[in-house]
Amino acid sequence: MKTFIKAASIFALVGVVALSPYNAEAATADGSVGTSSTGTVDVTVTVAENFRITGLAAFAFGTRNIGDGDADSNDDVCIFHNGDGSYKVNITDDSTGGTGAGFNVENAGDSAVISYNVFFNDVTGTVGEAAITDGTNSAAQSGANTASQTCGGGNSANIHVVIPGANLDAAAAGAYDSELTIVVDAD
Amino acid sequence: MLPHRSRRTQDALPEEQQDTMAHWTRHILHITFIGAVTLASAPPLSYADIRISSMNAFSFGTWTNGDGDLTSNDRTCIYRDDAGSDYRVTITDDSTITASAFRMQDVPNTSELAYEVRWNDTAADGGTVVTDGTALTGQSGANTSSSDCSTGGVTSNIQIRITSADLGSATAGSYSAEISILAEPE
Repeated sequence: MKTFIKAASIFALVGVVALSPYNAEAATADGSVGTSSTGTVDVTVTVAENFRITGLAAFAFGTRNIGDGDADSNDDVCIFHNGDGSYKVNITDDSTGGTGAGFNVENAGDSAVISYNVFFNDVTGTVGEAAITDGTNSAAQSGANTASQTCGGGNSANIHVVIPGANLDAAAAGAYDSELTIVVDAD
Repeated sequence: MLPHRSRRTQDALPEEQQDTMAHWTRHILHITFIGAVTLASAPPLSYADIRISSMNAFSFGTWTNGDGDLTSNDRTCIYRDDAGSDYRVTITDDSTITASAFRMQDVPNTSELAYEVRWNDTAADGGTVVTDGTALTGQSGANTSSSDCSTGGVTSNIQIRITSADLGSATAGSYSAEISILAEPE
């Protein structure tokens, strides 16, 4: 039996930051005629609040046999937020039961499922991680990279997937998969 | 001050006076040399009057991840009140965090966002990249018939470009800058 979970990369965006008045006065003006002439122009832009998750990798557990125990793997990822580093995540998968029905890998005919558990951590590694409920917002997370959309090549968080050995042992033979979607947005 | 001498005595100066003449000649040559260097490094300013007009603000709106670079052009008018059409421009902005470069700043002036400025001496997009505070010399094509280019048409272009890389790593917020374009006849 093969189990495979794909993590989908998601850009999440959330509201635009409340706009404050620009700090430059409206000073666009033509110059006057003289031995020199100076014109002035205002340049303005608003950068929306943006989040990004990168560094995602598939969880490919290969073939499992009865007695192999839990299928357990985790992946350090990068969370970027061009603000204060805070955020929340909402994780779902594409299993037939839909959002809120729990995380399940399914066989090709969607006739058999194996439930699994998802954990998220706002630092790399699994120490301090929290279990995620399918379709439910996480608690407020912190520590997003605020300078680089790809964390400068590093990471800032962790996703952890565990398929309990008991569930695997009880499953019908076959290949199972699921696609996880992780939405990152403002907490 | 040069020693006074008559044409008559010029033909047969005493040796002492010849030394003095040689001394002043060296000074005169030296001064001439310095003048030549100055002329070579920057075209002289003309006494003509000039005007820059047709200025419009660059309002880029809100940028969201994935929107790409922001680029905008503004056609401008350079007028000279004589037959000459050459000029130079020196462009600066009011940024304070990195005052020596083109930067927009947020409202509390704690974050900055780099941008590029180009000047073109024709009314076409693009142009030559301008360095903050450095004169772009050798521009031509000033309108000589209308101080607002209502006759003969606009003459030049300013382009502002903000790269998606800079926007994508900028802290969320509103950024602005005020650009000053000094035009001088050459």
